[in-house]
Amino acid sequence: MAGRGPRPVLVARREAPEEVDDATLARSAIAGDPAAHTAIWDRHHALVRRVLLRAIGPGNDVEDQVQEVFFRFYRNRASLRDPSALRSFLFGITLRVAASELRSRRIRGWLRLTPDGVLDEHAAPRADADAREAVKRLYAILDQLDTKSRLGFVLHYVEGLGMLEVASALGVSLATAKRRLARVSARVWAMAQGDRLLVEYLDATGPASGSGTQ
Amino acid sequence: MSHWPVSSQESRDEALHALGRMARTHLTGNVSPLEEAEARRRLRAHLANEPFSASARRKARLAFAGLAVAATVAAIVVGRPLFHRPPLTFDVDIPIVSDRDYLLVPSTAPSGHVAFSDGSKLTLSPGGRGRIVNLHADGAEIGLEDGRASLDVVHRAGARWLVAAGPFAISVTGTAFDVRWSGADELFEVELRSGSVTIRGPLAAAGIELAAGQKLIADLQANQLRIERIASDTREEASAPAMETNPSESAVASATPHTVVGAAAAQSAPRGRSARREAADEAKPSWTQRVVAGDFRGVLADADQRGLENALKQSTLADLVALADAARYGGRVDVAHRALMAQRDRFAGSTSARTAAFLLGRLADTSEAQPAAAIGWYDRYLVEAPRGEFASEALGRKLVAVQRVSGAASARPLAEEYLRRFPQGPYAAKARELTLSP
Repeated sequence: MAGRGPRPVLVARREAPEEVDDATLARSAIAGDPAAHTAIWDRHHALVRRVLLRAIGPGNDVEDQVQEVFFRFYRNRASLRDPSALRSFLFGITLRVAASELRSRRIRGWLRLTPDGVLDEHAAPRADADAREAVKRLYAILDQLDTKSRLGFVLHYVEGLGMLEVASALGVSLATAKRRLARVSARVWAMAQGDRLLVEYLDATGPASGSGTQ
Repeated sequence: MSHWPVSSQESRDEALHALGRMARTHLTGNVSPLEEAEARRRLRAHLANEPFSASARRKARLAFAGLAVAATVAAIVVGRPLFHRPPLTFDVDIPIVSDRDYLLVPSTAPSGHVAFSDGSKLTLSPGGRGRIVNLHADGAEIGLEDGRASLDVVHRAGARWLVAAGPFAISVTGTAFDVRWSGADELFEVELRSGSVTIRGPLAAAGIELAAGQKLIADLQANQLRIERIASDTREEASAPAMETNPSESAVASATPHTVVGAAAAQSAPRGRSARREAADEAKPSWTQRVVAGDFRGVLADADQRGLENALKQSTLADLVALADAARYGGRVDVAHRALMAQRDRFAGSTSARTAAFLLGRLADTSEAQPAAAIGWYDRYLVEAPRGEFASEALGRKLVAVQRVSGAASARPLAEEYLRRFPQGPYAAKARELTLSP
């Protein structure tokens, strides 16, 4: 490219110097720096735990799965081709761990809420009783879905991801994601209508809050 | 379920989002600092015991070698790799300045070219800047930071390409199109030469499917989106039938909320000759389908033929929404106003009625030059749908209108509220400017 016009200065897009970015952390982790793994944990464990909890449902201890996500990352870190995509990489592992756990629980017949039907306080520290019960009922409905449908529903409606992000997370085309979500939302809606408490909860909250995910 | 009208997909979706928000609120995954510290300690202990001791490495190498042999055997037997398909690669042609995956074409240089290993090609015009964000086996993700780019994607089963330009994202399977993004002007353009693409962005929240021969122009500063046909000699396939009958027609969508987008758009946007033949065989398409196809004049003519009064009094909600959109895109501000008012009168409480308040504000703001009336409608929308789909835009447009009517000092509290609620919103820069002004 020499002699073919001016050579401009590349745009630098780095975060504040005191903040080590994901790409740097990932590179250090790939190189085997244990401190980088701890830093990655510190930065991302809340996201991982939250997504796992929302995917698997209330009343479930997801701590083992959180550990599994970071352990899988540790083992597979060399396959992270784009270090700046660390968060997406972890998100992908999280979804696979959630899917695996849901399948196992289904096989073992463990996919249920707490034995006494009461959600633990750690799942919903300040929740009012109605909302806690409604969450429980919603997840009882989700328990009847297959794993992919459940994850699609959770990512879109609970996690608030857009269709493109859902499609990307599930590794399907946008059209497939839309088709699946249309099918699963119709099913969830039909089941929700058969649940008096959910109907009452929706009635009480009303439609005023709109449909956005903000 | 009296407060939740369930007659439409939109209403159902809104109710499901409400359930999702409820779950989101109550399933935060927060743990106490003590639990967090214990979890952290547990991970460190786990990793300290597990990782790369010499024996573990030997075992890993042996396991990997075994897998490699199995994969090779499988590849020979099955004829393709068992475990992994390698991501695409690309070659960059001069005079692009490239720092690994960052592409920049000097404004004084000729266009630069990127050739992908699947045969797809990217051309970046002079002054263009972009990045190959990600490569995978089925395609790539390309970020266009500024300037014009042309992409020819080889059609393959399962191909997945994504082009992000400013706040817009173009999903591609196999197609050829030109895209331009100007960050300074907040102007986005896509010209589709063949195939089809789906575009999402600030004015196309639910996605717009663009057909061959169509051009989409989104002007974020004017908050306008329009779809028009491109000259036939610059494309490979025929364009939409409605466009063919009205070659000079230009569709202008102010904020384009719900009709051009969504499932209806995905289902009924024209996709070529066979699709056109199928469409011709079908019974008369609905107004919604005709709006999606760009036949705004046809919808308006149909309404006039039925009698506008009757149409406003008797049409279904979907038809009223389509009529309002056709009128807005077709420049019939009076009809648009009446169709939106009819939605509010006849279908009060519905999502469409709330959206109509926002659109009435838009009309008053942009087409009727009545900023005070616009502020009133934006207020109404924000009261009825405080976290609705257009809340950010309603508040942003309101602060601009207030500044215009009453001055910067009056708009400043709104700017502060905007930054609190939508720190990344499209009006955040404007709001910051207002808060910093003396």
